[in-house]
Amino acid sequence: MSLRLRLAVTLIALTIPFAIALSVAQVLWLRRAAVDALAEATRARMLGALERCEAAPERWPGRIRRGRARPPRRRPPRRTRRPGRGPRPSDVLPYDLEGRSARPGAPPLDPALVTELRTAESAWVRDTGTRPPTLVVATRVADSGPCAIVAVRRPVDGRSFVATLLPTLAVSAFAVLLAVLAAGPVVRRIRRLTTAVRRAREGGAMELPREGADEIGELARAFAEDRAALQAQMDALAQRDATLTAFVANTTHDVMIPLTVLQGHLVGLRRRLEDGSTEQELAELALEESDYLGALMQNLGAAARLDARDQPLELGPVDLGALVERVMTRHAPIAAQKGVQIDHAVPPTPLRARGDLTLLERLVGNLVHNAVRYNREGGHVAVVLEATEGGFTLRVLDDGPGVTPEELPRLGERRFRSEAARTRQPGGSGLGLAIARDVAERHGFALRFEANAPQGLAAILSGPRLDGSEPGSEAS
Amino acid sequence: MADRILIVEDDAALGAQIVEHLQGAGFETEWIDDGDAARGAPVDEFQLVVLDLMLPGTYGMDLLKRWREGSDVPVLILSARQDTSDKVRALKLGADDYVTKPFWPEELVARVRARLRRPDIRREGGALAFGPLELDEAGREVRVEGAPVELTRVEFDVLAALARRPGSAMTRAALVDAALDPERMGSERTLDVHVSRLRKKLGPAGAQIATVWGIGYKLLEAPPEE
Repeated sequence: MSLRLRLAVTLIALTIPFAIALSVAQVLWLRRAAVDALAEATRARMLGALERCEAAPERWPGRIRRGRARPPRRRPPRRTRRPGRGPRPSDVLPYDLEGRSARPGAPPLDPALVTELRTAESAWVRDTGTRPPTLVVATRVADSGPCAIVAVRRPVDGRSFVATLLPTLAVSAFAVLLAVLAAGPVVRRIRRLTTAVRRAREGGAMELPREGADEIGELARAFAEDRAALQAQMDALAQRDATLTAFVANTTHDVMIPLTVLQGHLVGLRRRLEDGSTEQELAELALEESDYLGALMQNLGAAARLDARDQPLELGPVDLGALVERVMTRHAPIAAQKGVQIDHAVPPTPLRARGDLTLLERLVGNLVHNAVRYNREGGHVAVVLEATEGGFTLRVLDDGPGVTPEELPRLGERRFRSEAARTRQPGGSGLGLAIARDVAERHGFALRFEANAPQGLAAILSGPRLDGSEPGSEAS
Repeated sequence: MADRILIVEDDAALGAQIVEHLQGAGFETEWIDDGDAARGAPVDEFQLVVLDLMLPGTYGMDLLKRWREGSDVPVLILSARQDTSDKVRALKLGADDYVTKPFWPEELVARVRARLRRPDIRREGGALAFGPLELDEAGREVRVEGAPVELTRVEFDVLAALARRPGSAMTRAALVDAALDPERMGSERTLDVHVSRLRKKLGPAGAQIATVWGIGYKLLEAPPEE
């Protein structure tokens, strides 16, 4: 149902009963006024006519007119309040208090009227026994005698109710018409809004009619704001989806390479075993490759967490000394195999910083991993954790090939992740350093790289430390 | 008597490997591969528990919580999770340490050993012994193979500082702080000279003071094998 049709139906449904009720009330009020006027007129008339009536009640007031109304011979003493209409011609008949008339052929007075007149000055009744129905108004004009009651008969005008109703109905219909017409611009604006919203759904730009300081204008603005917010969310989701898809594709690619290399090493190893060789080189290469694979997977997991920027870090007190020891036991087997000596020094008392345990371990692990991986046999790696004024410094030193002075400031630069991950050549910074830098940044720690004299690289991480009395601190 | 270790690990291959490596390292092991069975395990009969958090059916955390109601046995967690909250929760529930998968067998053995490390055995009179080297910090006495060795105050302080954490490296800066007079020329170069003299005086035990590249020195608990 359209808005205008609904409006029209609602208005009609409300106004017609109202108009009818109004007309009924008006008709009743007018009848009451007519009855009062007639009774008043009768009393006035009988002031002078009572004696004549009592002298000859069988002839008073003259001829009996029944069934058909006629104009009276005289005009009534007062006009009724109905404008433009005089009183109708009527039959007037005298009755005594028992309702009997001295006039021969006079119809009997309704007993209800007789009863009512014992207490009331005047009473009325509708006589439907005649055609057209008549209104009988009886008035008590004396306390006794044959003319104590005077009844006036007047035909009821059957059209008067409809005639009263018609103008009310006409005004109502006009109002409905006006309302429906006035709704036109509103409806047109809503239609424009609908069209604009539909078009936006089909992928077009949303050009909403924003005019109007009224409710429709507000609705349009609300739509526009909602649409903009939704669009932003959808864009972010699409962006995230694309990133995730690319991430999965790149991850698969990144993992497949070391896995293939690992499989190749294992197959080569089996062949050597079949040949009875005791050469260990392939086993060591396989171990190194699987170590790389493990670090890669953990770094990809860390990268995913770091990239989900809306996820806050899980910060808590982290025992840095315990963390360093964990990282060292992790890297000791590969370092021993490569002939790289690794050692560490931590303060005798726990040194705590506020951070994300997993990510900080990744940070330090990546620094150590790089220092070991790109070192040569007989090389060294040292990790030193020291307390400073209100903070800590963690240094990862190596005497490996290092990097050129030009490359130094670019270490750990944010690059396209997968590209960085695929940089597997010695000296390449790779995914690990990019993550180390990211983690340091997210924690508000400083990470810098220096050349380590006489050769090698020094990675230096520093940040604030927590006081020892931090609750819920990590066990060592 | 060898330490007994309880292993709660649902993966057959990984469980078998852990058993093999821990036994190879000289531990006695018992392996439970089912979380429900581990629920009622007599954990106090073991010196350490290795618990995989990813047991199906019974979440490892529940086991940990249950055990901690009545036992202080050291628990080492195996975790494959990237999220920190998991590890932090396990540590708060009373786990002593964790190892993230993938891990090296040597790594696991090292973490287990670190947990089981016993306090230093002191000889009578409070002297510490490291192979042929004996050090009585209170009496400021040092013996090598039973023979007393005369040390200067600085040499003794350097040795005592190293002996407080045998096997752990100390930075030169920390040793300078511990042994050299800040009023005088207390540089790291001076420290190296003192250490050099100390090594000579200790004779056969001198090689126990090892130079650590990039850090400083550490005291080995026994003379290095040639």
